[in-house]
Order: sequence, then structure tokens, then C-alpha cells
Amino acid sequence: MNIKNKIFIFLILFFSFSKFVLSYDDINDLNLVEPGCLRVSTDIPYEPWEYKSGDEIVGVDIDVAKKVVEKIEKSTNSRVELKVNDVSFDTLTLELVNRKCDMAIAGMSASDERRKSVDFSDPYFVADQAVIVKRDSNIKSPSDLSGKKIGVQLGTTGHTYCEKHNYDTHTYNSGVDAILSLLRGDIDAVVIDELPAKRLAQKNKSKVEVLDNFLFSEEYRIALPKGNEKLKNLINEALAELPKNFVEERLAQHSFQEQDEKLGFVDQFRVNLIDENRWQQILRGLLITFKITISSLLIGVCLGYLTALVMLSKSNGILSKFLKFIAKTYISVIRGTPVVCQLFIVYYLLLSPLGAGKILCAIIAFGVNSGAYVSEIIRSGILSVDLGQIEAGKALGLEDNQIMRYIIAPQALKNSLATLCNEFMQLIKETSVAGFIGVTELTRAGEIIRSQTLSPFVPLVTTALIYFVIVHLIGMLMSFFERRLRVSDKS
Amino acid sequence: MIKVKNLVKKIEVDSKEKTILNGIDLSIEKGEKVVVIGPSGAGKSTFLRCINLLEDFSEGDIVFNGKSILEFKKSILRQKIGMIFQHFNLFSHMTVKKNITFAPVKLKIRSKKEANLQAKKLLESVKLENKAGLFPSRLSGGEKQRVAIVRALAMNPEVLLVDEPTSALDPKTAEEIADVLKSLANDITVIAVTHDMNFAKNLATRLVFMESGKILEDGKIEEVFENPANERIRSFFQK
Repeated sequence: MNIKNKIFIFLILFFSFSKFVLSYDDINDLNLVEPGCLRVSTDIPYEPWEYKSGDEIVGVDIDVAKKVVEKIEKSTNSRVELKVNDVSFDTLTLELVNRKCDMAIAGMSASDERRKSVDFSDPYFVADQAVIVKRDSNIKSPSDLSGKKIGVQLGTTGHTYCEKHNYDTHTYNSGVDAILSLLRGDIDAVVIDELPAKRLAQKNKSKVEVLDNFLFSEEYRIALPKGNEKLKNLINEALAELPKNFVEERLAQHSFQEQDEKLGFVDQFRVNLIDENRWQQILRGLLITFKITISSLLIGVCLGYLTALVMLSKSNGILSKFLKFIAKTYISVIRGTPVVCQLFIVYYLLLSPLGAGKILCAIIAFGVNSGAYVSEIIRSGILSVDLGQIEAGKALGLEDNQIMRYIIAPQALKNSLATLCNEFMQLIKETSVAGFIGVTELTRAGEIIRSQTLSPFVPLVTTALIYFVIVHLIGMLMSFFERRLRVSDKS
Repeated sequence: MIKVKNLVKKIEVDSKEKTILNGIDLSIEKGEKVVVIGPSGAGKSTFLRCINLLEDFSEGDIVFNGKSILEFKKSILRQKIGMIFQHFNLFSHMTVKKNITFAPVKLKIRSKKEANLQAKKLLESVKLENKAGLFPSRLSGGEKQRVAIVRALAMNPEVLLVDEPTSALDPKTAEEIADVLKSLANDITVIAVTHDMNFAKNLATRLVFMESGKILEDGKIEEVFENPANERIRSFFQK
């Protein structure tokens, strides 16, 4: 290597080094509120964007803010500390205007109103929620959605948005389920992220379409004080340099983070039941559970009673034989198949095509199911009544219906009360599978809360506890009645 | 009052025809006390149960007050022909009083008030007035049968069918039951099936001996006991 080359290499190294050195920004030019510190304001809780984990505020936005800090450190060659401060959302801009913080990051979009007082960075995330409707639907734009039944995927942005805007929201475990429900006509539209929406619509493109306009489209940006171009440029560079899918990956990570280890019990209780009035969801679910249970119990008892009478009929006519055959088949089919299958068959194959709603389908499925069990309970109850009681009634000249009503029925009821009550308890718990067809009963309500708070303990234990208390109360009520009915047995 | 004409009842057992009653002819006058005795399986109870149509029959007829019982509405017939059972068959879910008043009130024969008054009197007559509020399970066998008797009598029947009323009771209690029947059912026609000879002697004026679905002997009770015409009856008494 000759000297010329050496000098050349030296010069290159020198210039590149000096360029590096010379290109350092002066941290003072960034005009930070507190030297050596990047003060960031946000608003918790808004999971997974920002929320508290222990004493620390974390979340996707905070991860983005950390990337901004890294960028500042690199370009100014100085240590910068990140200080995150929780304020309420409406005061975020005020904080910037009053120079309480250097930037605000809280899933904010740049409204014209806000632009008057603060500047915004480039967007770091675009949340587009698309609307899928049937091709023949009269919903032509998202503004037609009010009053319509909207299917969403449990716990998604669309779910939150629709609940918040008081749409008639129906939750599904997956987008596919929601689309199937749309195809059957149970719901009028499906709101879901744009990409999966397009994918799902493509698969059923002869039947459904994605509306041209999004239900909402939000670009999340960082807000910063007006006129701080240096800081704005640095932030935009930092955002531009974010690894591909950085936000999406962080989003997924924060969404599935277990938080309950860190939240104390009281906090878990608050988050799951008090915040956003989540207890009301539980209450609504409970009412639906009651509605389904009581209605299907009534159906079950009527159907069971009729079936038992058919089974006990002594007539040998063709009609009676035919009815007996139907009753036997009914009982063995219902007892031989799981209630979930029966629910699906009633919903998907029998009633939903006729336009019946989900709750009605559930009521009928559970009622028919219960009827088979009740009929056997009533039948054995009637058979357990001593024949002599019936003969005594006949011998006194009572009519058959009077004997049935005043002699057989009370005694059969007394004999079968305990088993009938068992069936009732069983039924209440069984209705929890109605969530499979998207009925928001008690268990489903708990599931929804769990998907929102990502803390399973409180919702699960609460729903379990409610079932337990109800069943226990029924048990107590039953013992009370049984004691009263058994008065006649004491000797 | 009751005329039984060539009564036949056949049933099918294992697709073989079996004759339970094989041509019974019997005429009973108003107020008579008749006991039907005979070995087990003679068809005594079946015969008794045919009279109020708890059982149907295959041939023949039973005429009650000049009219075939088949022409009666069953419930009307049974209101006129009461019955007392071996196992009492009191309604287990009703109190003693309710057992007595239930049918008269439900069938609109008596008002509730009248029925209550009647029940009180009837219970006094069988010395059970202090048991009116109890459920049957609290009564002794003899008490139960006394309640069953007044329950039947509360309907003011013209005929009382009595099906082995004492076979579940001890001899002393059985005697009481016979006394009660004699005193309370004085004007009523009574047809009783029994195995209890003392009960028969206590109650009846007339004795009918049945075997294999037929009547072998029918006469005044003293005569049949003292001088049975049939060898079968003699051997039956000696057992």
C-alpha cells in the first residue's frame, strides 16, 4: 500500500468520522421541558396501548415512546430519561400547550380541533374498521348501521368501538363465526379490521361485500408542542425507522400479556366489575340466563307432562301407538345426544333458517331437551302413586280428571319434587352453552369481560359464584317445600 | 235392589283364557248385610269390584235399582255404591277431615260448611274427633279403617262394598270395625268379602260361599255355619 492510498483511507475515515461527529444535534435545540428527560403524557388505562403493570406504565404507545427516546439519544449522543405521566385524555393537549410535557402519546388522532393548539407527528398506526354486509343489504354506508345488529370479534377494536357507540353488538369468537351468522341473517353487518375483512369477504364474494367506507379509520399520531420542528423531525425519523410490523407485534404481545399476577385482588375486582360498569354486563347476562332457564323450564314441564301422559296411556288405538312411538323416540334421541349438538341443530338447521332469534332458539332447544328428562321424572312420579289411592278416588265417584288433579298430581309432585329440582338446577347450568350460538348469557358475559380485561380470575369466579348461589338458593327452597309436603308422611 | 244375572268374567293370562267369574246369580234386597266367603282365588273380590265397575265383566249383567249398572255414568254409580278397602286407601296427602269432606265438596253434593259439620259428626261417631287435623300416616290401622268407613258413608251411599276390611288388623280391632259398620251402616245394604269368620258372624245376616267363580251356597248365616250343605264348605270351615 503506498502512501497515497494510506492518506486516502485516512481522509475517508476522518471525514466519515467527522461527519458523524459534526452531525450530532444539540440536545438543547430540542427544547425539552426538563433537560436530559423526555416527558411523555398519556392516559391510562387504554389497553393494550397504555396501562399500568405494577407501578409502571407500559403498553404499545410506551414502547413507541421508548423508540423515540433511543432515537434522541443516538442523534444527540446524550443520555435521555423517559418519564411517563398519566393525565386525563382531554388535558393531553393542554399539557403540551402549558409545557408540562414534551410529547403526548395515547392513541390520539389528529383532529382539526387539536391541530389548532398542537402539532402532530406522522401516523404510527392506522386502525381501519371495515363493515361487511350482505350484497342485498340496505346498509350502504357505516351511517346506516345505527339500530342494526352488528357482529364483532370478541375484544377487538371494533368490539370496543361498537359497544362504546351503543350499537346492538353481538360478539363472536372469530370473524368466521360472525360472517356465518351474517350469511344466516342473524345479524345485519360485521365490523372487523380491514385486512381480515377483505379476506373473509373474498371467500364469500357472491354473497357479501365490504363497504367502501370504513366504520372508522383512525391514524394514531404523537402530539407535540406547536413549532418544535427539531423534535418533530426526530420523532418522525424514529417512527420511520420502526421495524416492520413493530406496532402490530407489540399490540399482539401486550394483548396477551398476563396481568393478573401483577394486579392485586382489589384492582382485579375493580377492573373486571367496576370499571366501565362491567357489572352491568354480568347483570344483563344473568337476566338472559333467567329468561332462557325459566322459559325453557315451562316448555320442558308442559312437554314433559304431555309426553309422560302419552307414555302412560293405556289405550291401544293406532293414534295412541303412534304417539307412544313418537314419545319414545323423542326421549331416547334427546337423552342420547349432547345438549350442545341439540342446540346447534335447533339453531343452524331447524329454526334459524325460519328467522327465529338466538335466544328463542336457545329457549326451544333447552325446553325440548328438558322435556325429555322431565317426562321421565313425571312418569315415574305418577307410577309411584299407590294404585289404591286412585281406586279410592274412583270408588268415591270422582271423575278421572279430578283424580288426576287432586289425588295423583299432588302425590306425584311430592314424590318427584327433588328430581324435578335437580333438573331445574341442571338446566340453569346447562344454559351456559347458549354462548356457543352467541347468546350473551351469564357465562358469555363473563367471557366477554375476560376478553376485555385479560384477567380471567374475577370474571370466571364471579360467574361461577353466581351460578352457585342461584343453585344453592333453589336447593334451599326445595328443601323447604319438601319439608312442607312431607308433613303428611310423618308418623 | 241389586240383581246379579249370570255374571261371567274372563281374562287372558299368557294368551290363555281364564274364567274368574263363572255365572254368578244373586239377588240382594235393600238393607241386607251379606258376607261373601270362600278360598283365595275364588273370585270374591273380583265379584265385589264388578258391582261398582272397578272391574268390567264379560257376560251377564248387574241390575241396580232396576237399571243395568252399565247404563249408569260410572261416577254416579260409584257415588251410590261406596267401597271400603283392605288397605284403607286414605288419601295420604290430605288430613283426616279433608279425606272425608273432599269428595262430597268436589262433587258438589254438599257445601263446604255442611261437609265439615258432617265430618265432625261422623268422626265423633267413631271416636276420632280429635284426629281430624292429622294426616293418615299418624293413625293406627284400626283408626285408618274407621276413617275410611266414615269417608265412604259421607257420600250417603245406598250400598257399601267392603273388601276384606279386617285382614290387616288385629282381632280386637277387627271386632271394633264390625261394630262400627253395624251401627253406622244400619240402613245401608252391605256386601262384604272376608276371611274373618268372627267378622262375618258379627256383621252379616246372609252368607254367600264362593269357589272357582261360582256360588256354592247362599243362605242365612247361622244356617250355613251350623249346617253347611256342601262338603267343600264344611272342609273350608274346619280349616
